[in-house]
Amino acid sequence: MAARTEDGVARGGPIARCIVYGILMLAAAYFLLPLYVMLTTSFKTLPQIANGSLLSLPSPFSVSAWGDAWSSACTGGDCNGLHHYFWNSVAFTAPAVALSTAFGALNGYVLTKWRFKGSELIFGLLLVGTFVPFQMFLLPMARVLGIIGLDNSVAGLTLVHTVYGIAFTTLFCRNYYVAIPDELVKAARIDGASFISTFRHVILPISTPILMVCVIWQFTQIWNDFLFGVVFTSGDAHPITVALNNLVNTSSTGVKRYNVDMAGAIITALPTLLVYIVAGRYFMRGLTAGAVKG
Amino acid sequence: MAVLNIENVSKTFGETRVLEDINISMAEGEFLILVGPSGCGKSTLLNMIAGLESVSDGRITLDGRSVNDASPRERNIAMVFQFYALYPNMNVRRNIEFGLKMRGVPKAERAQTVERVARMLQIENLLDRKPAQLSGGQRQRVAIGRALARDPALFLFDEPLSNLDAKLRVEMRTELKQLHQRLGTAMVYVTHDQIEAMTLGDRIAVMHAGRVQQLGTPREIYDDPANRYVAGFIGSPAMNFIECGLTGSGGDTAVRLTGSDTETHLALPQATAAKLAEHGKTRVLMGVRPEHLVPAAEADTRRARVTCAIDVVEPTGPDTYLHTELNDAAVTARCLPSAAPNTGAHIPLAIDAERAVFFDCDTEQRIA
Ligand SMILES: Nc1ncnc2c1ncn2[C@@H]1O[C@H](COP(=O)(O)OP(=O)(O)OP(=O)(O)O)[C@@H](O)[C@H]1O
Ligand SMILES: [Mg+2]
Repeated sequence: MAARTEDGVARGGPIARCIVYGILMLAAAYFLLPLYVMLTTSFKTLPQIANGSLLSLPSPFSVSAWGDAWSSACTGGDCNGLHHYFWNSVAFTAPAVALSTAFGALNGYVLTKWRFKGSELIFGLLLVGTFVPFQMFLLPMARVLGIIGLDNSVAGLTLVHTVYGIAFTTLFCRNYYVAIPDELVKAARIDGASFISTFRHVILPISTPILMVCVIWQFTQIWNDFLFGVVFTSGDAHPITVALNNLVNTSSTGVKRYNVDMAGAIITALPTLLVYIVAGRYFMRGLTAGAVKG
Repeated sequence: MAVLNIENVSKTFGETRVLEDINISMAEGEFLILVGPSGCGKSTLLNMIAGLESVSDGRITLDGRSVNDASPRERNIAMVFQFYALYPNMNVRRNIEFGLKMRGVPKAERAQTVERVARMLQIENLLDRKPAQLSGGQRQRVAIGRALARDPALFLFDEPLSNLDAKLRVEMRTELKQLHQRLGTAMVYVTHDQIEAMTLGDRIAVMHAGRVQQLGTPREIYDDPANRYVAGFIGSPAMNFIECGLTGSGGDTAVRLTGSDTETHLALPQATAAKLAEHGKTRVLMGVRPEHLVPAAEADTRRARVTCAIDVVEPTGPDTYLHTELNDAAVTARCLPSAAPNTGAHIPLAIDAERAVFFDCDTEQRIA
């Protein structure tokens, strides 16, 4: 029997509910187990890893693997850990996320509120950009970067990710702005606001949810990217994803240091997690409420 | 000097022509209504005055200055939109002062203006609320307040009351009229509600199919419609249109009317008869408003009468409307509620020939 709950949604009886929660818990455990293994392994010592069970808790508890992964593990040629590459990644991810989000918002604003002849066509072409796979960009982009002198540099990666990301951010923002009534922009124009001040004072303040979507999406894409990083940079200019790969595949002593590998992997994944937690909080709905008849 | 002058203005969107040869001149302090059915181009014309749409052809002048190429900012106008269009992120105070801020008015002066406007519209207690925390009527007040803050030469309203419920609409209508009397600033007001048009306007422009069908005072529009469209659009219940044959000639021209059985000849005023005779056609379209078609018992005994079978009796409170047929056309007559006949009754109806208007059957233009 369906029972009415306080929020008015009909749910199953206690037995059905137990089954649902059971399945959900199993699924959660299935996805959390690898994380658990990674986390515990990163705090174990090598002998413990060799002799103990995969699921046992670390004892003694050791943070030395984290220190190694950060500052002294070998990543191919040098043995200074991941920290240099971590900052490399920050150096191109932050501006690329900011730029592609800013351009996406501006594009969306123009494509919905200041339509011009051919604006639909331009949007269509931009849309195609979201369907083009990474791999197709590699050769032409490598050539372009070479010509403008940005190959093997953090600036080059910033450019590549910004350009590639604009197609997505434009799509997101345009679809969000389409739902904002045109009358708001008309009212702002009557009030004497210019193109830019309308954007700044009227559109931008109600764009937080979609900007956060863009930031989360772009940050995840760019930070986690391996392909562009490995193709367009070498040596010192590598992003952290490439460095992590090198760290895992380089073994100076011939022993596989699983604890350092795991610590390195977690360090690499941490920023994305952080962005989800921070930006996710701004995922508010209904920011346009009250603008028009409601 | 005219505040607003619209000369031979047309508007095309791509291939479609939505406005055709519009000519309107507005005097200082005038309240002008643009009324017409949905899609006739009212909003487009208003947007062109505001500078939100370009002018395809013709010229618009504000205060004697051609503004065809001026941006909305450069025109001394303020506008209120149908869906309020309040900035959702700003509270009421900031909504009202936004236009001043964009024009670089100093902070102290802005605060003063907000005070003045809020007092005028009685929204002082709402100043710190966001639009989402307001009711529909309050939002509309704020939207009007935003327009008032700027003290423009011309106010533009695009169906500002159509979102409100019936009672609030009537209240706000009265308030708007008082506001206009107090400010004395010219206003252009778009509506598709003919009662709003009649009650608010100094003059009304009835629009249809991209053209101004008639421009005149409410009385002129109501009593002297230029064509069948205007006659049918203004007035509720609508004017009756009866196709009838003519008899006699010259000043003795009369119309033949058939009710439930007998044929009657309705004699016409001299001038009307002469015009019909001069027009030369044997059939014309007669327009009679329901209040000029009443039971003979309520009318002057000298008026022509025709007996009709009453199909439906419709009480509305102050009046009762009777539905019947004249010359096979469905018509509505008005009677006093106390004297309402029963359904199916045959009663004589009297027609006020002085107030009847006549149109050409084909062109639907006014003859007399
Ligand atoms: N941007 C546009 N492109 C093409 N056609 C348009 C555009 N804007 C309006 N139209 C057309 O112009 C005509 C007039 O539109 P307008 O909005 O002025 O009508 P309206 O009289 O305000 O109607 P309503 O009472 O429904 O608001 C309509 O047929 C509409 O389809
Ligand atoms: Mg409209």
